[in-house]
Amino acid sequence: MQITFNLRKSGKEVGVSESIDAVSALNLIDIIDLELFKAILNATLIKDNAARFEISVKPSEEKLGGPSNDLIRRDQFASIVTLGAESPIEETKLTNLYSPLETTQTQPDARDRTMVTNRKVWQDGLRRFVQSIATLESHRKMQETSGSVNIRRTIRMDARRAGESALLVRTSERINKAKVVLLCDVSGSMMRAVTFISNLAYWTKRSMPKSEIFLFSTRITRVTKYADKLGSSRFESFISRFGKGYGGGTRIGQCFDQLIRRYGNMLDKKTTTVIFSDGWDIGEIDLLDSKMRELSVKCHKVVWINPLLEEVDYLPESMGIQTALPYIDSFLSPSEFILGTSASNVNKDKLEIEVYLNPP
Amino acid sequence: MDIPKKVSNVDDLLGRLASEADYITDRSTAAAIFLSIKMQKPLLVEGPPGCGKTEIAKCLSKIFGLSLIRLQCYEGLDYGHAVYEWDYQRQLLEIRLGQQDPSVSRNELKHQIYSEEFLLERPILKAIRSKEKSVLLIDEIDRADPELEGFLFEFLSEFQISIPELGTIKAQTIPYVIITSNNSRDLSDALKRRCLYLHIDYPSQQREIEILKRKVKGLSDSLAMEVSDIARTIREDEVILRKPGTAESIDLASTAVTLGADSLSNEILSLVAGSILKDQEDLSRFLSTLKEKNAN
Repeated sequence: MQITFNLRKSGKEVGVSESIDAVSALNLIDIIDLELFKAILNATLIKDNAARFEISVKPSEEKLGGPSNDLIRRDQFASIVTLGAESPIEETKLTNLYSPLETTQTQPDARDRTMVTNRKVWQDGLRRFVQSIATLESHRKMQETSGSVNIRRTIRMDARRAGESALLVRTSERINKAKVVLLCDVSGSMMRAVTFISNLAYWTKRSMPKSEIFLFSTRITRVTKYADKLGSSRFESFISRFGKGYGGGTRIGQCFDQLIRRYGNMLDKKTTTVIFSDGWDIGEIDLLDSKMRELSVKCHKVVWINPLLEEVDYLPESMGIQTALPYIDSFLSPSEFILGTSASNVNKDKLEIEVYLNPP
Repeated sequence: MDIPKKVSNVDDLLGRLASEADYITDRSTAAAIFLSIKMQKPLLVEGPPGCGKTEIAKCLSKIFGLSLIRLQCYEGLDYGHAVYEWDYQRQLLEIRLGQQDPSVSRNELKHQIYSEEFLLERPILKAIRSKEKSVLLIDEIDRADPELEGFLFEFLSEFQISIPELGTIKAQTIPYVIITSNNSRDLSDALKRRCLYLHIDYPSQQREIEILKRKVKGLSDSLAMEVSDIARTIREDEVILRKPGTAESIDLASTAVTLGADSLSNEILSLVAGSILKDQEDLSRFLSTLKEKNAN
């Protein structure tokens, strides 16, 4: 119980049935060393390879005259088990890593405008977004009474029922469920929008369970399970710690390259890629160009949410954004994304943005 | 004899896995398998591809002499292909025969056609109805849609399935259930809660050499060491994204033995690199590193 209690305190959800499993498992094994003890805890209680946990056995061996060589007696099971906490990471400063254009540009404080924390607003916003992307018709057809007569299926049904079926099978096009791969920039310049990122990740996962969440800066990391489990407020502090560990600017092209190579199977024609970034980039422009092209070919849609679009005088002139624009289907500000105001569209031929001003 | 009694402790199982199934592993892995056997709970095994997750089910089936029932998961796998389906053709035939026999009432006929006799067994139902103990392997569950996990909950926690027309079918003998996942998506907490958990990682160098020597006949100590060294070097290279598992190391060793090579010279390596790296960019990175080494 002590172990379960400690794990729950560390943020791990441990159920009663799992505690019972752990007790049964410990009773099944006579002599336990630390290695086995850890294996049992991992198999029954922790069930997560990513979680690091420390074990310290309470009673001292001298007092008990107990076994040596790390052997643990049953009465020592009241051990202290804690899940590993993130080690404190030194604060890194946003240095002038970006192009002169970017660094001379004033950094707008997007914090206030990306602080939408109202549940209802997020729920409605994501619902609208889901509706807008879940329109792709699948090659699979769904049986439906109001659909059109499907001769092939009718004949097959007839054959399966030995010619006795008097049914006309009606089908309609199946609408695929929306699936999103969300890529959030957590470099120094984006740390002001951390609340928006955490809410966006949390509500995306809530609205579309098949979605995958990634954080990127100089490398990309999959954080889907944290977005799902930590909740938006705890995920926010997670991102803050995470972002500090990165430093060194943003390499969007390299990160997308890693995404495509490592998680390429997540990107398909049912998937919409949503990128939340200001587009400030110190990486290779050629690579960004080729990877954006690849993303736009592989995915259903590419949506870019740029917090700088909230500023009246912002112009997307930085190299990163200029390179990415031809491959973006929708270029939105956070408010446009959530509140569903006029969604801007990119004119791919002229490489001009039709709407990048503040929403009304 | 009751199967769980056949293994007395973790070390006993570890020894049997090695001697009877050539499965070399560590005590932590053996402990999780041991607990799964003793506690009769499904074992969820996660880890990178090629590290011996599926092999666990095969080994259990081999050392206990049990039949292996496999459910290979894929996107779109539905209840009808995983659990059971009604045999419509046979039901229709039965109706026709019933219509010709005046002694059979409509009610009787209705009950008759919705009996276990008319169920088409899919892997899970097969494991449940099996009179002999069996090993059920649910392979690569992360490839299937999340909805499939929902279908499995009842089976994984109670070892039973509910069929609306029939009621509940309980397992005659509880099978050993091994579920594998390559971790390409997160599995639900509800599924994890019903299983014991095991994560298998790449083996240590010493263990990998032992595995290679067991699996590849005619492999010399030095060649095994070289293969393991190369696999380790590739796994440590952050630029290479598709890391080779133990299965790929075995492939590399087998290829080298087939070519009759005594050692892995750069020339041989450039010929057989495709057996350990299966991505064009990774392969060219590896070959360019080799060339650099040659030049130096």
